Amino acid sequence: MSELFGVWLPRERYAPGERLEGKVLFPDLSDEKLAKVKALTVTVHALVHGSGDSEQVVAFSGVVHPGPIDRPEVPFGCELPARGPVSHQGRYVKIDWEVVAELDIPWAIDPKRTLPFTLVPRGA
Amino acid sequence: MARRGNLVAQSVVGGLFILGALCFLSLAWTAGNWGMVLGALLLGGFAALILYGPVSQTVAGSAFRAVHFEVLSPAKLGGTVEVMVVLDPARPLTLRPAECTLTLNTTERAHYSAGTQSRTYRESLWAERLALTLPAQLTQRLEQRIAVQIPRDIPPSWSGRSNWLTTTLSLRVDIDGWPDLQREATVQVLPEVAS
Repeated sequence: MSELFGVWLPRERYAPGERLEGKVLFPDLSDEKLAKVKALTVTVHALVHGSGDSEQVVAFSGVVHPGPIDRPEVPFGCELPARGPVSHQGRYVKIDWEVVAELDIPWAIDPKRTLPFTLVPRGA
Repeated sequence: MARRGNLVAQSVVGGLFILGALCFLSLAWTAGNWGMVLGALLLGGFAALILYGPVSQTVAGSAFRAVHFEVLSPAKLGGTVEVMVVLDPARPLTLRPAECTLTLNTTERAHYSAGTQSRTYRESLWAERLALTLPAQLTQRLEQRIAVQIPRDIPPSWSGRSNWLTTTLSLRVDIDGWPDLQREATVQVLPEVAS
């Protein structure tokens, strides 16, 4: 069974202030679920978690394709925040960046795909 | 700045404890209850411990007309940052240069709260004692610019609602016959490696 959709980024590492561009890929357009899609939403955010209260830093969140999916790839892009936070794996504070793509399908559990990436200091 | 805020908070809490101890003591004294008097004295001792920090800093500060400790610019990873130290003594002071320190600290801090429970977790990620050259005799205003090397592999500064990655510089000046003078300044570490 092939995946309904997936998220693609050209690379795994980015720097603060850089432009992130990627695609949401639909390998099988004949899947009937894609015809029922109301919207494709993409969120690019950092999840700050660990031992403290978790929080999010959202670089981008929005509908990148309204209506049924009728093309094999939907591009998206956003500027990553110039001040970070950069990815961090500490004992109490962890910062993970990811792209989340979500299909809004009426009367169904909205399928979601997540692709992590790393935000490293500029010049690292 | 954070340290000054802590000192103010300590002064307020210590003052409240002193007030509480005095009220408690007067009640106990009136009632002639020696157990309660002992309890009030213990409370007063606890308050004195809390107040020690702010009082010692006020006393140490009174030895100077002006004290200034400031980080002059944001820092890049692996780069240097300039720090300005101004010590303007109100009277000639004898320092113990070997005991005067400048320390670079990087800390991660996470605050958790649920209902009435809250807890702060703290972990030191970097602690480094840096060279600080001060004269043994401080008789006139001293202005010193110090270049501090920022490590390449510390996390850049970031402040969230409940999570923080911070880098600070702490100055400690050991003065003969006076409490140590302590100041802290925040270093804004940018998410950029110096070229």
